[in-house]
Amino acid sequence: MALRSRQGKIANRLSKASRPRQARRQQSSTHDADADVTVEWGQQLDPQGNGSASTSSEAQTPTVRRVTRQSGMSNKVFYRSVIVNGSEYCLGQAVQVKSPNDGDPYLAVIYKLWENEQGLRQIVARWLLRRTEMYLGPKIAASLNDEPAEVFYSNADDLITPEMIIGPLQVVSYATFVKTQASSPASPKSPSRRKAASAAAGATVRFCRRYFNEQSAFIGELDWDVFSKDNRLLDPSVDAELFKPKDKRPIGKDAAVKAGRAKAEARRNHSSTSATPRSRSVKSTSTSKAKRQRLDDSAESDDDASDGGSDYEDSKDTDDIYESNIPATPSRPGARRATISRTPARTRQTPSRKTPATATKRRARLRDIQLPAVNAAIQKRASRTAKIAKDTAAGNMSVYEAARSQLHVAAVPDTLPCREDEFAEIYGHLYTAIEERNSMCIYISGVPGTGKTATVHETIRALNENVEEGELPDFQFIELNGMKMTEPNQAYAQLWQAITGNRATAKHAAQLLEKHFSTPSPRRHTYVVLVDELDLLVTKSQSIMYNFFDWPHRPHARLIVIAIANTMDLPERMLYHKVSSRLGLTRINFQPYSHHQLMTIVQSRLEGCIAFDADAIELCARKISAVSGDARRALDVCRRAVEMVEAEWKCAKEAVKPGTKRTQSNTNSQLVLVTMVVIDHAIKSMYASGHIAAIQNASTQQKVFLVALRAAIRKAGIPEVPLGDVAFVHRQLCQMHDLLLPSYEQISKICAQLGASRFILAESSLLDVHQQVRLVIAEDDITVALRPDPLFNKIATS
Amino acid sequence: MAGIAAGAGRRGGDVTEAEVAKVRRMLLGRLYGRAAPAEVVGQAAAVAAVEAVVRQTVESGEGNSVVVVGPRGSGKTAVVQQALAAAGSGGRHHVVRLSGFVHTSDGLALRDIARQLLAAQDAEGAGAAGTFAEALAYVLGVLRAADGGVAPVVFVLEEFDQLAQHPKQALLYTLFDMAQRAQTPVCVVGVTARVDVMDLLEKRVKSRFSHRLVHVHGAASLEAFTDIARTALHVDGDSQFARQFRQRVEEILSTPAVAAHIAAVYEIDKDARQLLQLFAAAVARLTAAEPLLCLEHVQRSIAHEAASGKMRVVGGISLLELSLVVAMHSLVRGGSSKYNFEMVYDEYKQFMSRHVIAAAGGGAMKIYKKPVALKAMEALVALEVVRPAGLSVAGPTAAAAGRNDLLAGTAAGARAPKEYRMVQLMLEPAQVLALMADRTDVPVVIRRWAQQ
Repeated sequence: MALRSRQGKIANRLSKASRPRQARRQQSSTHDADADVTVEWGQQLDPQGNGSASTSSEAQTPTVRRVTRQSGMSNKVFYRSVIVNGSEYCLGQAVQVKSPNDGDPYLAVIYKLWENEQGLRQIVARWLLRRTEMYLGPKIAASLNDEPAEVFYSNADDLITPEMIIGPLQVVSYATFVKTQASSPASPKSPSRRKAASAAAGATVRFCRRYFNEQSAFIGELDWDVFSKDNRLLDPSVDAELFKPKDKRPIGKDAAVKAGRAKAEARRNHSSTSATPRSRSVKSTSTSKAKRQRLDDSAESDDDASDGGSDYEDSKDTDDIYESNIPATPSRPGARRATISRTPARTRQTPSRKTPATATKRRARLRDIQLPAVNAAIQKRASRTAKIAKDTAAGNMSVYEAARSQLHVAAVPDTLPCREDEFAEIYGHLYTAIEERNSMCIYISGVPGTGKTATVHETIRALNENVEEGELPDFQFIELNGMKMTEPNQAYAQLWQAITGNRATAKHAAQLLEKHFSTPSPRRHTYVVLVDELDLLVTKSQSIMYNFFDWPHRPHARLIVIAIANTMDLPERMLYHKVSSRLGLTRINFQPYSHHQLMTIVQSRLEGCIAFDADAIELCARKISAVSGDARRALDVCRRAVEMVEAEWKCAKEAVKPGTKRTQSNTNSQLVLVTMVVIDHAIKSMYASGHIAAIQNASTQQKVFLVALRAAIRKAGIPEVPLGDVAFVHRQLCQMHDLLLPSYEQISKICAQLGASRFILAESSLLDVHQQVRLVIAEDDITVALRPDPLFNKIATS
Repeated sequence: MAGIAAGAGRRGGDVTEAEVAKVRRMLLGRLYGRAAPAEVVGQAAAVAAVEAVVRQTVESGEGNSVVVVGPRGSGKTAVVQQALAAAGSGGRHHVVRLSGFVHTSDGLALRDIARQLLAAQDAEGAGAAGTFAEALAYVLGVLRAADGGVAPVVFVLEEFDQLAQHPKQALLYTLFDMAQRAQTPVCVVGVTARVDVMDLLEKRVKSRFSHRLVHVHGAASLEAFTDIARTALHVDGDSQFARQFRQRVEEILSTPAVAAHIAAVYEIDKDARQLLQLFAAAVARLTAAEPLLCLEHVQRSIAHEAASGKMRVVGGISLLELSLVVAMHSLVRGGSSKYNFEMVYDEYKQFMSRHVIAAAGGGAMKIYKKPVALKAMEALVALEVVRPAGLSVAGPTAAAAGRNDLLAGTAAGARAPKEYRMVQLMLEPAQVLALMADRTDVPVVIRRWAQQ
């Protein structure tokens, strides 16, 4: 019914300048591709099967064919209208688009029509968003009342194919809508009836009174009647005005943001003096450069338009910043980047891009966007830490209890000390990607207990705060853990459930996800997926990892995948090249904590606690960093030390109690400190193998067996001997030293017992005397353990 | 000895059947480790260590993990039970018990966790949830909702090393991870015999484990070891029966034969379980007519323990079978570790023709024909005195399969005729000699042949 007749021949002049980001493919040929002659482009586009009127010859007659100047590759032919199933749809017309799950159709305005060089017919659709399809901050969401018939004109573009159009849609202005509703006979005044009526008519009639800038989540007013007249909405200048990139925030807020940036800069200067050496180098250099290279709006927006949509480029550039600014940093393996462009067409199309001048400009811009936010986040971290310390001090627990609970691994602080650089890096990547609605992959590696997961969580917390403050578009954080899945395939099911809330089998979920990420949809949300313990998702075909790293590269996905694994070279070592290539080059390695860092970590948790000797913390840090650099271990050692001291303190208290009454000062003076001796003891008790004590506490015959086994092994000259031989020696020893002579059954039992404790390794006892036995513990352990025993001294010397 | 037994009958007349039954049940429970003993002898330090850990979880809601390590029969489980009882008095925590031998997969473990925590009310829901961690979170969520708060959960993992054999160690990872998160207070208490338990843990699991090991050792002295039996058989109360019972236990423990056997067990492996089993038969026979322990029963168990099972089996074999055993024995002495029936029969025939025929007129000895000897060999195989050689026991299934058709062959020479399949004698030379010494019907020639 709303089918418009063919429009007059209007030059569809599109200019390149100051366009907001759009689907990339479009850019190469946008300018001066005037489609002033339209063609019957349609008939053949009937969905297969029912296309009775399809004539191929007609479809092959594009009248104007223009080769774009910049790229010889892109020979797109633009059209004015398209005929699907006999109905004609023109540019600027509102249509209903098939949704993948056959739910409510999506609504869109046809923005461009073309056939590309492969003969592929594509439509750039501009989504008309329903209220439920927008991801808004809670505040804005609350301010909108729920009108089922309302749609929002957005700047979210997508490529769809003509086959996906299922019907026309009538969009009117709000005034017209109210008028028709009132005049319609079936609309009495009662709101509920009216709602029902509008829902019934809702299949085709919608009203639009507002637009939605997807980049900034900004909603503004719009007069649809004026706007849609004469296809004004296709005019790029209108577009530019509506979705100005600078118009990111409501007017009042703009000033505030500028002020915030200035403040952040001031803070940055300040903080650079107190930061760790590595982060200082980042900050100071970037500060000066950023100041120098404040760019004017036009240059920035120009740049904005030209680099739209390329996540590869962006991630690479971000890294360039780090690389160029930190010459003193020991080179991280992830920092070696090759310049990869996604399509060959793109490289050829913009050869001038890589000139040094533009590169610097772009970097400067990125830094400008990114670093204030990063620094602000870091600043927040610092303030939070201080608060925690205060809380601890104020607590009314005993000193030891407070220390213990602070040292518990579960008490993850809001901010991880000594991970500022990694935080900044991850935060920077994510901030940019979310803000620009890009997809990307980040690979994080590091040995257990170096704060990988905690840092990511912290980053997400910081980003969530940004979202609440309205700086960033909303995103959804999804956490998957390879270790917690019974089989790798479940990653699909879990992801699908997190995205949609629906359950599906792993196989089905994989298909659904594939569809979800590869079909256009207005319901686009940025997902940040954390894949923890990535190495456990490695299957034989590696299809899971392949998919997880491939989806972010789909044009319709807004997916940020953060993969965490222990090994730095997992992509090279275990993954096929096709997988590691998709993983990209954004890699962050978490070095094991050095003893300085471990000290800082423990000290930051113990702020205000008087139970610790400073040297004790240092000893602990040094011992742990020498072994593993695992923060969990360091905390556990300290906690154990506190427990030991607490027990001692309690004993002392009990002893004192019956006698004198204690005063406050008395208790404090009695406080037993955690000293180096205690720490040393704690470490020993945690790392001692317990072998020697276990041997010393074994029964006499078990000891004899171990000695006999050692003798038999020495005699045989090979590490494995049959039990029969050992039993022979064993019985000999017993006879020689006048011990109880065990039967073969008893020896067999002793062997089984020692095997259960893993002092020795024995084959199944079914083999009886023929089972092979070998020693697991070191021979020296036996010697050391039995030295104090006079009996075994005698045996050893005999 | 007889006097004690007779006296018991007379003095015990005033005890009712119900009372005796109660005592019997209690003691059997202790002897078989079903009930916690009144006191764990000589393990005070270990109990205190575990108790402190559990207490931190139960009382202040800290997540914790600890592994109790000690040889079999040293009282690990008793230590844990004691610690739980001491720490958990009045607490509203839950205890979940898992065993690596029972819960051989994470799925089974999970189902049992759900069963134990939710008392079967919602176990289906847990099964439906996808992954282990999810399901566990679900179970704990239900639990939290039911309790209206966060109730600490203590997981006791018996045969911890077996659980560590599960693929990916997802169970342990999830539990340790929970113990390190603040959400639900969880205490994981592992129990294992393996001293190298730390090496079994995957690096991520290891990092999440608190590295708290509590070592439990066997009794430090013979007195302490005897005390284990004493406490297990202790009957509280001040009644005449109780006093008599305690006195009788003392009497039995000080009987020389019993004391000597306890000393032998102590010297061999300090296995408390074996010690307590000595008394199980006697306790099980308590009746109102005879309410006190009977020394005779204890002694019978001791005799049963002391007898060697294998020698008893081999004791009754025929002379031909014995000759074959000696032939194999002599082959072993000759340096061959594996042999087939043909070789054994050849050895047998050679010896017999050389010695027995030469002895001339030794009418009792004759050379048996090959088919007869083969039958005898098969009988030995059926007794498992002889086993196919080269049968490496890969796993329990392979061993079970191998046991039934030994000579039919499982290993390398499976397709060879049975006469040519290689076998091994499962007796040591000393055992063969002992076998000879026990029997009176063995001809001197054979005896000498064995001793050569």
